[in-house]
Amino acid sequence: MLPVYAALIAGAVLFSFPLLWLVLTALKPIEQTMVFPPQFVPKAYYAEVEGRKVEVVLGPKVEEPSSWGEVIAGPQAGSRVLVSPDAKADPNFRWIKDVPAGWRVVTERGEKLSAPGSGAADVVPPEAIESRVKLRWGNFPTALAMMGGRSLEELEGTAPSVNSGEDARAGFPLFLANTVIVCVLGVLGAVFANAIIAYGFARLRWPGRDALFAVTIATMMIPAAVLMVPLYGVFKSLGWIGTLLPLWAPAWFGSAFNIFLLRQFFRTLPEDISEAARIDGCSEWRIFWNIILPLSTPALAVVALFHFLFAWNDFMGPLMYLTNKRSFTLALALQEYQSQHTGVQWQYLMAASAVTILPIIVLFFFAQKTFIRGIATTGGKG
Amino acid sequence: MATVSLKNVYKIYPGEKGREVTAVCDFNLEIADREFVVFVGPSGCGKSTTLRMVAGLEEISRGDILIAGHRVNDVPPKDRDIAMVFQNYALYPHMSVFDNMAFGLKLRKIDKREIRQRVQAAAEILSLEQLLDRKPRALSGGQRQRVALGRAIVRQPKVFLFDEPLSNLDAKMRVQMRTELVKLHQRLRATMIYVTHDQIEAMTMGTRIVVMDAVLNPKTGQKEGIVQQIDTPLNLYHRPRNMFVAGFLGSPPMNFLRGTLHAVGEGIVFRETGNPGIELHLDPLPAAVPFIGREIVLGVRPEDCLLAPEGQGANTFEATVEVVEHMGAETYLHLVTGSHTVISRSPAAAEHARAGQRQRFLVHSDRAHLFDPATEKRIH
Repeated sequence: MLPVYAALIAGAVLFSFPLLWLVLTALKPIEQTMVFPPQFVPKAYYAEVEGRKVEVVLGPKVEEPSSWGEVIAGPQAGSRVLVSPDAKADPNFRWIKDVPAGWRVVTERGEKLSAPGSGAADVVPPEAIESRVKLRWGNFPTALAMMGGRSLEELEGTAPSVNSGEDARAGFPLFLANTVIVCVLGVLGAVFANAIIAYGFARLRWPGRDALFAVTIATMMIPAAVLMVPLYGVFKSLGWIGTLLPLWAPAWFGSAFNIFLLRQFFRTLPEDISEAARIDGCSEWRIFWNIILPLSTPALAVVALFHFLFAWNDFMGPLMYLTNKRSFTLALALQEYQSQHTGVQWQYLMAASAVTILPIIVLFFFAQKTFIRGIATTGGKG
Repeated sequence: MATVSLKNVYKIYPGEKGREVTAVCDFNLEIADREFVVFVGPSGCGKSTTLRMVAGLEEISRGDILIAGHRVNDVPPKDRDIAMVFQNYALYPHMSVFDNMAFGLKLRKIDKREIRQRVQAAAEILSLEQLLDRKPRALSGGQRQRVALGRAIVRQPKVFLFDEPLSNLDAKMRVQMRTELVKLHQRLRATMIYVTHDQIEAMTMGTRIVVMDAVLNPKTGQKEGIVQQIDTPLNLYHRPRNMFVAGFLGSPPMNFLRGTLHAVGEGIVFRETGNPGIELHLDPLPAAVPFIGREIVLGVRPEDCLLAPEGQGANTFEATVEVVEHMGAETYLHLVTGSHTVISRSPAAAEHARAGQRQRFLVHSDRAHLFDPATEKRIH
């Protein structure tokens, strides 16, 4: 048993590592996000700068004995630098102290999001730097606030908003609401439509049923890319471009895979239950609604979950059909965010990503029992 | 309070390549009020199909079915005032026992108090009072079957239909439920139609039995479900119309001996084919006269072929005992005669018989049947 568990744990760690990295990065200050060797745990450093104990950003390590001083003339005046001991005599340089190799430059961390701080810097011995684990939860609200297209400066009130009018209202709450609308309406449609279509294929006898089922299954062979342009045309002529309709309305017309899944499940339910219900006085609709659907909850849960996952993560659909920032879903807003901020502020990007995938993870934990049962079920005897 | 009439009922399925399959062929039956009619026959004889046509689960291809005098061919099942009990119970797995029984009543918008009363009453009859809150999966097979019965009872239908309801139960339970069903029939005084492949169930439960068989139609090369005989259990047993009915009812089955008839003086002698064949003296039967000198099949029930008492000479034969089966109260002896294997159902006194022994057996020839080997019909 032990090797099995060891292998399973190793696999679990391996597969959860990207997620772990995502969350840890979301909690870091920017300078710790992209360093080599990688730093996994978000930390804060404290050192004495100009006689004050402050939180600092670690600068470069001193490679060989140098001198620390202040530039007093020229465009760099006022900044503190490390120079080789020979350059001490430079008239533009005010010597402060000599530093041995192995010491480290530290700069005071600014409290503000955009400003680097007071700029106060010093060189201190490594043992004078105190390090503590610090999770920067504040990255999350900042990241969410920035998702609407606001800059850090705007958030701090140091720069005016670049968004005007209706777009100014576009932000995380609106994106979340859009995504929830698409998911909920889509899931309702997928469950209802696929169930009713699958019932027709599984339990009713009508001419041409098998041929039509074959056609339905054949639609699975058509690559989605082929349908992009024609579908766009259809939605355009319906006047749906720029609205959420193209993202959830198609779910109300069923999809081949879900139809197939439910049809196979319905076929495992004994026919004589339907017949008993018919004799008890059920119409076909009642048999479907009162008998077949309640018995199919595991399969319906699978369809609901599949569709929810698809709709929540869908990027191509929103990218094609949503032209207006106010109708963006989270997936599209996240991409937009990434391209606007040109991939520098990883901690905010990761925070926004973590928030975006959080509902999926929570849902999966709650539903995993039903999910697995639905996939594994063969519909045993009642 | 309902009669059921089936008039020239056919069930024809569209087969492959346009060839039609006749599952039920020209079924005619008048069921009186409060009758317990059993459809019996081997699998594929059309007995379940006929029942399902009465229920409305299968369309009637030709002919008419009348319930209480009304033609129901185009009436949906729910409006036929029938209730059906299925082989696999067909309970609703997601409903409690109470809801299973009440479902049909709720659909008919019957008053809640009335529903409760009816379910309680049915539960009492079937001793299900303690189980009303359980789900079907928490019940044993026998209990599930009772719930299925209860679901039928609460509806108070004109006609009860049973489709092999006991075949999923174990042997002991089956015997118990058999008597309970008979009691239920007496108590409810309802018309019941019961389908089974088990001839013992048919014999013990039915007031009348319909024996069906799948018969090869030489024209189409397909088997068709055809009624062989309709009568009371004892009439069927004592006066079967043909070899199929004679062989189907009774356990162990009737022995059929092939042989020839000869006239000897006033009487008639049956001589079994094979050597040495059995010779039996039959009473002079007018019906048998045309068959003198011709081939014939003699049917003897196992209980009419017994170990002969000492000194008995007439209508006895000697045979080798091949197998001895002890039933306790009686003993089945499998004998090898001239060209047949014959089963004798002897009293317990025969239990000393051993395989391999030669024994003398007595045949009650007055209770023997004669069949025409060509048509398989009974001559006498």
